Amino acid sequence: MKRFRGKESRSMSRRTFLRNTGAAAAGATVGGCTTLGSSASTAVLSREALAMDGGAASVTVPKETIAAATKWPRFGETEKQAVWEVLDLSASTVYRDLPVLEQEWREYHDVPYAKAHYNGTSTLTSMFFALNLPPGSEIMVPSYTFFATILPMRFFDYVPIFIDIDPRTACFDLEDAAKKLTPNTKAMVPMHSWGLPCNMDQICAFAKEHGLIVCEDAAHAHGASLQGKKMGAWGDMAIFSFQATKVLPAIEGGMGNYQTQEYYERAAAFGHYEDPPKFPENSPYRKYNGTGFGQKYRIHPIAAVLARKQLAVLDERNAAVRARVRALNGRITQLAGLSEPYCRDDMERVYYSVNMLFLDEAKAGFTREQVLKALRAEGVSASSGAYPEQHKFNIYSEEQWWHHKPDVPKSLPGCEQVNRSCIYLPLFYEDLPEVTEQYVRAFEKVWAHRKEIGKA
Amino acid sequence: MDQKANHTNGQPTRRAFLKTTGAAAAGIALAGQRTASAAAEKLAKDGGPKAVTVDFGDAAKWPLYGEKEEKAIVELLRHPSYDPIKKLEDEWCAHFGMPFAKAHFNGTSALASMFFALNLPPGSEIMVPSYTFFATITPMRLFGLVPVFVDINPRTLNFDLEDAKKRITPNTKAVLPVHWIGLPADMDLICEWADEKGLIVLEDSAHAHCAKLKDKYVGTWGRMSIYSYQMSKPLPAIEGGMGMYQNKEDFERATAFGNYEMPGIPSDSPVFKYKGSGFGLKFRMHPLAAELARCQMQGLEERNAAGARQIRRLNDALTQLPGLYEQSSGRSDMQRLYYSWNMLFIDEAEAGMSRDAAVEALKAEGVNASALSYTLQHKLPLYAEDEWWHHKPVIPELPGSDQANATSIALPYFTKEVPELVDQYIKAFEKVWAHRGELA
Repeated sequence: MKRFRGKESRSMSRRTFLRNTGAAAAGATVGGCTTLGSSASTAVLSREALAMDGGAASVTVPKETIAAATKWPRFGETEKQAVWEVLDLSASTVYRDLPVLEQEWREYHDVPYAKAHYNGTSTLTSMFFALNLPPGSEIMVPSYTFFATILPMRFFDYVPIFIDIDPRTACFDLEDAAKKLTPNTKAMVPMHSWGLPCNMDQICAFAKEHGLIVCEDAAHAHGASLQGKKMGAWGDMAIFSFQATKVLPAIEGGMGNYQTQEYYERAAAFGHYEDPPKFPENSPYRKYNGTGFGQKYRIHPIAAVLARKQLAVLDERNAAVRARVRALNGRITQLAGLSEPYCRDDMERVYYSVNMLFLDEAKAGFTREQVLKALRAEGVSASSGAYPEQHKFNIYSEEQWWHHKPDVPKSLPGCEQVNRSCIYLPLFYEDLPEVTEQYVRAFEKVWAHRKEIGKA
Repeated sequence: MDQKANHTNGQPTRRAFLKTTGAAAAGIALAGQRTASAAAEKLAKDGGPKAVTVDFGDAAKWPLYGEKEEKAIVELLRHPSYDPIKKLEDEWCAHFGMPFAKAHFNGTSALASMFFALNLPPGSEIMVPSYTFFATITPMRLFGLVPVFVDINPRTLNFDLEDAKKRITPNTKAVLPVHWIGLPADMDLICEWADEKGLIVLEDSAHAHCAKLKDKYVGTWGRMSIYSYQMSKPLPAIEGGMGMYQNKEDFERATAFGNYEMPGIPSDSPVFKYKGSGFGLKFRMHPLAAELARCQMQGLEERNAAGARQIRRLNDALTQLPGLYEQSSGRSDMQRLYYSWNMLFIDEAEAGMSRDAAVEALKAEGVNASALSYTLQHKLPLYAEDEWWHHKPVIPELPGSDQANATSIALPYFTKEVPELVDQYIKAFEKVWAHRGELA
C-alpha cells in the first residue's frame, strides 16, 4: 500500500509546486510524465469542440460497460452459495455465523470486543446506551453526517454539539471542536467521511487532555487505517454500517467495536436479550437476561454471511479501488482549481460510494454547474449533491425532543464549502484503463475550454 | 361451549360424558381394548418397548424454504434493491384488506414504532400479558409508557379480560393482547370492553399470521397490530416484522419513527418535516427478508390449515385422557393456527399423576414432550427497577400465568404430514395414562 501513499505524496508535492510556480508554467515543466500536462496537448484540446457544442464526446466506452464496472454492491457465486446454506439451517443453527463474523471482525481490527447489530443506526444506539452518561451530557459530532451519528442520542437524554468539518478533508475539524468544548462535553464521535480517516491521533490526544470519551463512526471506512492502525480501533468504541452502498455491504447490517468489557456488555445487552447469560458471573448486566433494555438488534443471519464473505475480499477490493482512483486523480488534480480531499502520508484511506473532488471556482475560472454540464456532455458520470448537514433539520431545533435544546449553529462554513465545491465521480470496481484515459481526456478538454465555458 | 363440539369433532360431548360418568368407567367403555392392551405393555422407562419407533426426522423442520425462495434470493443478490419491501407491504395490505402496512426489521422494531405512533403522554399505562416475549412490553419505556401486567387464562394462554377489568387505572390508555401460539384472543369481547372504557386496542399478532376470529383476521381488530417474521414464526423471513394500521396518522408516525426517508408519507403530513432525520432509529427491513416473506405468504393459509388438521387428529385422541387438556378457548368461531408448539395441560389431581412423572414416562416412550415454563416478564429485574421507567410498573401476582407454567406439557408442532408418528404419539400417551396408577 506504500505505493499508493508514495504516489499520493508525490502528487501532493507536485501540487504544492504547481501552486507556487503558477499553473501554466507548471503544466509545461512538470507535466511531461502525463499527456495532460503538456501545453501542446492543451492547445490541441482547446481546438477540439466540446461535446456540448456538438464535438465528439471524450468517453466512448459504452454506458453499459461503465454501469457494470460501477455497480455496487457486488455479490457473486460465493455469496449465493453461502446464502443458500443459511436457507437450509434450522432454528438451532441459523445464527451460527454471527459469532464467527464477530470473531473475524475482532481479529481484523485487533480489538478485544465486537458485536454485530441489525444496522449502523442500531449499532450507534447501542453505543450511546453503552456510554452510560448522565442526562444532559453533550457529545461532539460532525453535522456533516447521516442522522444516525446523532439522533439516537436523544433516547438517552444526550445533546449533540455540532462540529464543523475541515473543508480540505470533509472530516471532523478538531480546531472547531476545541472552540466548542463545554463543561458538559463528555464524548466525541468523529466520522471518517467517504473513507478518509479523521486525524484520530490528534483527536485522541485532545480527548485525553480533556477527559473525553472517543467514539468513531466508521460507517464509511471499513479497512482504512492511520499509522497502521485500523479505523474503528482508535476510539473507546466504534461503529460500522454494512448497508448496501457501504464499503462492506451486507444490504443491511452493523458492527460495534469495544475496547472494554463494560462497554461491550452494555452495548450487547441493549438490543440482545439473550446475551446477558453469556457475560461473566460478575457482570452487572447478567440479570437483564430475557429483556435486555427494550430493543432487538440481532443482525439478519443472511446479512452476517454476506458480511463474512465480503470481509474476506475487503482489503483486496479496497486496494484495487484505491489504485484506480489514484490513476485518475493523480492526473486530473493537476488541473487548475481541482483538488481531492487531503490524505496524510501515514493514512491509508478507502473509498466509499464516490470519488469526491473539490472545485475552486475562482481558480478554475468557471462554476461547478458549468463544469458538470460540460463533463456530462463529454460522457463523464460527474455529479454533485449536498450531503446532509444535520443541524439544519427541524428535529434539532425543537425543544420537545431533547434534554435541552441543542445549540444549532447559524452556519458551519466548512460544511458549506464542501457541499458547494464537491464533484462526485463514480468508483470503478473493474479495471477499465481506457475509461481512465477517456475521463482524463474529458477533464483536460473541458479545462482547455474553461475560459469560454466560464464566460457562458 | 356448545360450539366447541363443531370445532373439535364432538370431543367435548364425549369429554362431558367422561366427566359425568367417571373417568375409569368411561375409559373402559370408550377406549376398551386399547387401554387394556396398553396397560398390559410395560412402560419404556421400566424396560418395556418404546411406543414411538418412527424416526422423528424432520417432522418439525422449520422454516421450509425451497426453490422459490432460492430463486428470489439469487435474483435479489444479482440486482440488489429495496423494492421487495414496498411489494410486501402492498401484498400484505391486500391480503388483510387493511389500508396501511409498514414493514420493519423485526417484530420488536414494529412494536417500538407502534408505541411511538400512539403518541400518548408520558406515564400512560398499557395493559399487556406478562406471559409474552419482552418485545410486547419493554420498548414502551423509550416513550415513557408503563406496562400494566395482566394475567392470562391458563387454558388459553391468552389475555384474561376479567383480570384486566380489575387492573384498569385512570392512566390506562391501551390494551395489547397477544394471540399466543396462534390462538386468537377474545378480540370481540376485548374490543367491546375497550370501547366502553375508551381504551385503544392494539394487537400483538407475532404468532398468528392469518388466524381468524368470526371470520375476521386477527391483526385487523385493533387500531394497530404487529407481526414478527422471525424464523420460528408461522411466516418466517429469518428476521422481519410488519405493522398494520387502521389510521393514516398511526401509519405515518409508525413509519416516520424508523424510516428517515418517509416512504409513502405525503408532504402535508405533520411528520413530513422530519424527513432526512426521522426520529432517531432506522428500522428498514432487510430486502432479502422481504423477499422471503413474499414467498412464504404463498400457501400460508393452506399450510396453517394442514398443520391444524393434523393437530386435531392428535389432540382429539389425547384430550380423551383424564386430566389432559389442550390450549383452547372452546370457541368454534375461531380459526386458529399453530406455531412452534402443541400445548397441552395436565390437571395432576384428575390425571392422578404429576406432570413430571407423565413427562418423564412420555419421554421414555419416545415422545418429544417437555414440561414447559415460559418466562413471565413481570418477574424479570428490568420491571422492578425504578430507573428504567416513567413510574415503576406494579409487579402483581398472576396465578393464571403461574398455573399455565405449572401445568403445561409442550409437544412439538409437526410441520409435515406424519400420520404414523401421530398414531404412535397417541399410543404413547394412552400407554402412559394406562399406567398412571403406578406413576402416581
